Amino acid sequence: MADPLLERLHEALARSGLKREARAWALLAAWALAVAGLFALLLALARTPVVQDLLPWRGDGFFRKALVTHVDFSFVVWFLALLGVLLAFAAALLPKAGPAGAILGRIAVGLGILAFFLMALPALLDRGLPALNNYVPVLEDPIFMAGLVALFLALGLVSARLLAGMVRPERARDELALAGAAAALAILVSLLCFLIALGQLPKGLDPANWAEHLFWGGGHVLQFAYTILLVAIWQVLSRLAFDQPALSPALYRAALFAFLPFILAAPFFYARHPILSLELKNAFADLFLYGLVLPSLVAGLGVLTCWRQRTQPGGAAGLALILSVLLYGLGGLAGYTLGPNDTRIPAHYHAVIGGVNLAAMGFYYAVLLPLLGRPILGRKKMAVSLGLYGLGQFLWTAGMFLAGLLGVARKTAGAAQGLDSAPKTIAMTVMGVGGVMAVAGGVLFVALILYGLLAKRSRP
Amino acid sequence: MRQRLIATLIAVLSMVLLAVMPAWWRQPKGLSYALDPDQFAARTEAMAKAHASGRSTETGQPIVRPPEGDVYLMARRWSWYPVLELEAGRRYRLHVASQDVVHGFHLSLNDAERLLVPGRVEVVTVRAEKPGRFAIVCSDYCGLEHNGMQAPLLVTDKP
Repeated sequence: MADPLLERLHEALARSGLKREARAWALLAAWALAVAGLFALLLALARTPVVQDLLPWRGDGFFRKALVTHVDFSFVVWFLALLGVLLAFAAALLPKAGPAGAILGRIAVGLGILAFFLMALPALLDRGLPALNNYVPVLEDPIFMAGLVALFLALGLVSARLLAGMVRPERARDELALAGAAAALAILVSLLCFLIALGQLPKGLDPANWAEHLFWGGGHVLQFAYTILLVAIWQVLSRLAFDQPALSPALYRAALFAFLPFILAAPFFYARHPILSLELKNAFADLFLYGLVLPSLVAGLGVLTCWRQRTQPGGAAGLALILSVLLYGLGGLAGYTLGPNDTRIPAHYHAVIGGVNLAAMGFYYAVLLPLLGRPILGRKKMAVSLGLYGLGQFLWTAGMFLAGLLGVARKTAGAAQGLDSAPKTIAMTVMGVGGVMAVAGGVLFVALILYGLLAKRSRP
Repeated sequence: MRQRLIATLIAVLSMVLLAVMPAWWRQPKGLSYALDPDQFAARTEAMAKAHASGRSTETGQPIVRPPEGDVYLMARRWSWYPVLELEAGRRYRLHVASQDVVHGFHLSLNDAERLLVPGRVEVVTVRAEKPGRFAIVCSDYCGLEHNGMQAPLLVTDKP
């Protein structure tokens, strides 16, 4: 293991006994994508003539439940489990990481696995009332809700463990430990926001309204945790790909610091505005506009500078990094030109999420698998998965954005889309081709990392 | 040294951005008042009966052409009642309220947005200078057909 960062992490994981925990979170994240893919397949089959009659589930009810489960696994479980990896790494890098922390980590992983099954099961059993609300869509079902609580509790536990271990500032030197602490803070504040909203929401509120307003505030804060993860991955991948970190230590700390005031401010919005008010909704939207742009812009520019000054090709880490920065940047720019209800909105958030996903793909290939002593995957396969997913997401975003500019409404299908002109049809066709490419790249990625994580260990 | 200076600037800028964020000082826009949903429905129905001018083939709702002044629009899962046809150049006070659950109101004509909590009526001033067709959409998730909760606001020339 030539890279000093990976060597330090490898030693820290072995010393702290947190290697198994990191692998468990990495596996949970990978399985989350696999389950999301399975539900995507079921969604397609449930609308395919003849085949739909062979499935044990009938009608629109199952379709919506499968959609909720698909979104939760491809977005919430996947990202939270990835944060679990970061938090395990960060905890291992602390000087006093010890057996008590490892036991707490095992409890958290157990809760995460329990959550996984509890959240996947209700849709398959055709249980619960679906709500396709923002950030954390839910099934109104006790089993599903218990799973969601277990997942949040798991992440809350490992976040609290890390912050408790970092009470002295001199311990927060390592860049991954710093990012872990910032992400842990964002997770705990988002959980606090959920609790405040739970306490403030009036009794008897309609379940759809309840879910939307319960997860609105904390859901926004969770995006800060995901963005901190992104900045940390860019920093690490840049070092591996181009032999220098995206940001100098001082700039990296400043970028992470820039997230914190907005994270800490979030709970106070509930004291400033009523829970059911447009002002509260917009206050959380302001968090994105004012709080996410500066640090991610600084980190993105840092990556591009390293790329310009590169002396080596960069390999899979470099490809993932550049595609991630470009797609995330495109999504960010698209966010400033949104219409009220057209396809520019999904173009924006799919590009941003795609940017985080590409960074995560590079993280698995260049950091996680080598660090866990797993077989090194073929370069060509890694490049193909990254290229397919990245290019596919670019096409998808471009098609959706163009269609939105031309007035195509979001979340519509078939005749309801109103594709009454050639440019609209071309835009949506580009979107469709990009979607197929991105799915192919994603499936290849999941297959590769599951193979890597489940295969026999190679020499570290 | 230069890196440290930039880092300090980033940290300071983030604090400035936090301080100037509208989230702290944003106040409710326009007028709103409390009214029982049934009473609001009665007012809307009375307006619809008095000024009906046809039926929308798109939404199936009656088209209503009220005179300048107070007009009423009711949100209910997952439609807007009735379809309003207003006259260009005239000023209207649009009273909008929900009959059942929490909805969001967004009007593309003037980018007006309100949260509709049952039991409260929101008042939006509407004045279109030119004839056209503008979109009213629900902007707060209200159930499975939320994305389909759309209606036109028709603005026509003087008769």
